[in-house]
Amino acid sequence: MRVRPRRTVQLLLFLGFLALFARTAYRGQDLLDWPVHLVFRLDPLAFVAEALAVGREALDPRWLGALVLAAATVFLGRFFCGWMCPMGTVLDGAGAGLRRVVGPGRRLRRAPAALAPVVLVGLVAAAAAGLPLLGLFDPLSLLLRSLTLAVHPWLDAGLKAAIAVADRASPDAADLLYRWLNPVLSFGRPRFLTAGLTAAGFGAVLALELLAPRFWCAHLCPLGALLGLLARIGPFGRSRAPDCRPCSACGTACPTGASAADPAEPGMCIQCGTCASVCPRAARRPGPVRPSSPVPRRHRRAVVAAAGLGLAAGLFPRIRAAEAETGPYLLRPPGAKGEDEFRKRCIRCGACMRVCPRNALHPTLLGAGLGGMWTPRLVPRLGYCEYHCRLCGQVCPTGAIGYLAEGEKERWTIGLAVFDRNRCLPWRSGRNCLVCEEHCPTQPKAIVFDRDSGRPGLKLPRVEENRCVGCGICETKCPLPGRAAIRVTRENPLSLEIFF
Amino acid sequence: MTPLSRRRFLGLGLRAAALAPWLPLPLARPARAAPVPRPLAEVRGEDPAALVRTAVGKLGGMAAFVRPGDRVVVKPNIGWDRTPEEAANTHPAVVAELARLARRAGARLVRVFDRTCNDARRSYERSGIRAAVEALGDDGVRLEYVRDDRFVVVALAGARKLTRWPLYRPALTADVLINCPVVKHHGLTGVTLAMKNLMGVMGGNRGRIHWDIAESLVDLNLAVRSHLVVVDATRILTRNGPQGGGTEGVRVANRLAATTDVVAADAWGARVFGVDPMEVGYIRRAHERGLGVADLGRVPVR
Repeated sequence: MRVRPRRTVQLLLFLGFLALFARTAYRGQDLLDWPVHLVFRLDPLAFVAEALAVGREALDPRWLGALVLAAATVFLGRFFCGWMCPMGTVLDGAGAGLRRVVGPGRRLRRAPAALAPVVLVGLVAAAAAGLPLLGLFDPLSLLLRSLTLAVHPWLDAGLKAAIAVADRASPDAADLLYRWLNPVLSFGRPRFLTAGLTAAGFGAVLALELLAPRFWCAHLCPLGALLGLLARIGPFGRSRAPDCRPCSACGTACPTGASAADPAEPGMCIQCGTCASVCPRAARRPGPVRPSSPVPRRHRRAVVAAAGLGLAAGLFPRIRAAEAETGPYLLRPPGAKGEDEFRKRCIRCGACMRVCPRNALHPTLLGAGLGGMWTPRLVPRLGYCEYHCRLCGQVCPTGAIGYLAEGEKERWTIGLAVFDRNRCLPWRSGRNCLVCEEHCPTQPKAIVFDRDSGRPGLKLPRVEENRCVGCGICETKCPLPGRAAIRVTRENPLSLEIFF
Repeated sequence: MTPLSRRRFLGLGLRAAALAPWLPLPLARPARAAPVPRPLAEVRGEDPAALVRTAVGKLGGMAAFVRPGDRVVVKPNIGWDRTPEEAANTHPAVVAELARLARRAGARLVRVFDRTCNDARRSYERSGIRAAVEALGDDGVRLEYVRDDRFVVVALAGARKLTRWPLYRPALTADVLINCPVVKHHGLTGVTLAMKNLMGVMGGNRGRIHWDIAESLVDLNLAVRSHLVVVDATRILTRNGPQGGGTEGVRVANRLAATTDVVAADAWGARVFGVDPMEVGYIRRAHERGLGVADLGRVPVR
């Protein structure tokens, strides 16, 4: 069998990515050793996003790997895209599979050169003007988010359904299956708000493979574009050697269309080496080329237009009244920065949602404004914040959710639980319930009960506002059907922050 | 023999899967009519494992309950993400010792589980029960997480309120169910003990039974019988129950009791906690409905 070094490297790194993903879960330890957000340490786009959010503060040793990768790209080109990026590997695999099933189809006539800089510049301009959506399109974010919110829960549900069938036939066999599969199974039954939309978006990116291999990477990916800009200013590229007799084999075989030009367009070349391997005369090879400007000359106008449009888009939330209507139930994870900084920092990777042991963190759709799409929020009716748990702050790659130490977490106030006395059973029907009080984790409890002199034995629950941390376990466990009779609101009696 | 074709294999598999849900399940057992006072062993001391050994010994040893080859369930309270000192869960040494004794009596398999209130992984970990069970180094003792595909909806015989409910099949099909609660304060019922500990085999939105907790708990315990009840009063959580937090409300009592009568067990626990058993709604109703004997004066205490 022919050894294909690129495929081998891609596969190994992708398996590593999956291993990190699997380990990003509570398995008995309060501190995670290998959380999946480590991949973002190599992501220069994540660094750019953080720099746009917090300015010079982003210059932090955490980003050393990303900066080294950026520097290496100047000399080596977009090797990250061809050899390392897990999204690229997924696209290679999905593309091969799709083309096998659907057939090669009519290939899109290639766009003449990289349009991705236009996307990148537009997103950066929008973020600078106040619409931070860079992370939504970061390929590592996109992959991790899609895996977390849709792909993995779907596979997980399938495996568990199979185990449940096996359990009817032989519980012992099911036990065994369960233990074998344990490293890849979720603990509970993960399900997420926006699962459908997230899956559709991911599916659309995969389907782009039918237009052309690596269409996403060559034409849309903002990280690819950023690396492409760096590659273009570098002194090396792939060009034709003097003994080339132009047969166009390289240009036809090139997945991204970079080799249609000579030298190969470094902004699109992902260093896969296909050109060299198909060249009948071994004449296509790396070598020195003249560095050029980051953006191809003929795209400059498009880039300037994108910057203008991006700025305009970034200003749009300021005239959108719905932005002010975030509602009383928008709760952020424990340790989250103030709302504005939180939205700017968050790169929508979904790592916090992945690691949350109670499946309590879900993406916001429009509830936090346009700039808050796919940022995490706590939805207590679906899951509560575990009192002693502080995992989400550990896996956040950008510090949108800050790290909380032991003891600090238990004092962090997410919101305030408020009773709806019109629905709460003891209040409305005079019957005892107290499930909320039973579960309240603070010491002493934030939910207490009053007695009614007219009705002996009746316990009427009430919230001690300065004790409530807003973990939401009361709302999760409230036994009423549908909406709970106690809900956590964004109020925080201990902090003024939501009022400015 | 002709090899199984893919088509035939899939066909057989689908048919088996379609039939599987109709496999008969054992029905819940009805309770016996007239409760006869049964002995209760009461012990004091500082070593929880030794307390378990002595108390079970006074009832004739574990061999009186577990026959060789039995499948045993040990159902402690592991409801909360709390440490042993915080007294919200059964003491890990009590749990491990019960499992060990059951295995020594010849149990084929001992399952230990609880449907927890906090995250099960955190609760198993921080209660110390996972470490204690693993320290036994015995493959025949399994600390398991409750899986929601193993709940079956059961009609509860003789029930007044809780007529149908999803219950945990491994608990229903076990040969021996050992119920080992910890004595704790509870906002609604005053004190929580063995009868309420059995809520750990309930699926669904079980908080719902708070709306008529006394009647519901009797219904549950009539249908799911605890063959041996070991009440852990080594530490007692006296306030902020049932999950406490910190050690301020914890009283070290160094006591433990074992009996086969879940009502007598709860009556004993209530007494140790410091309340009159007949003032606790579910204990009084259990006594009245003949689940067991709450009148400790009639119970032979050893």
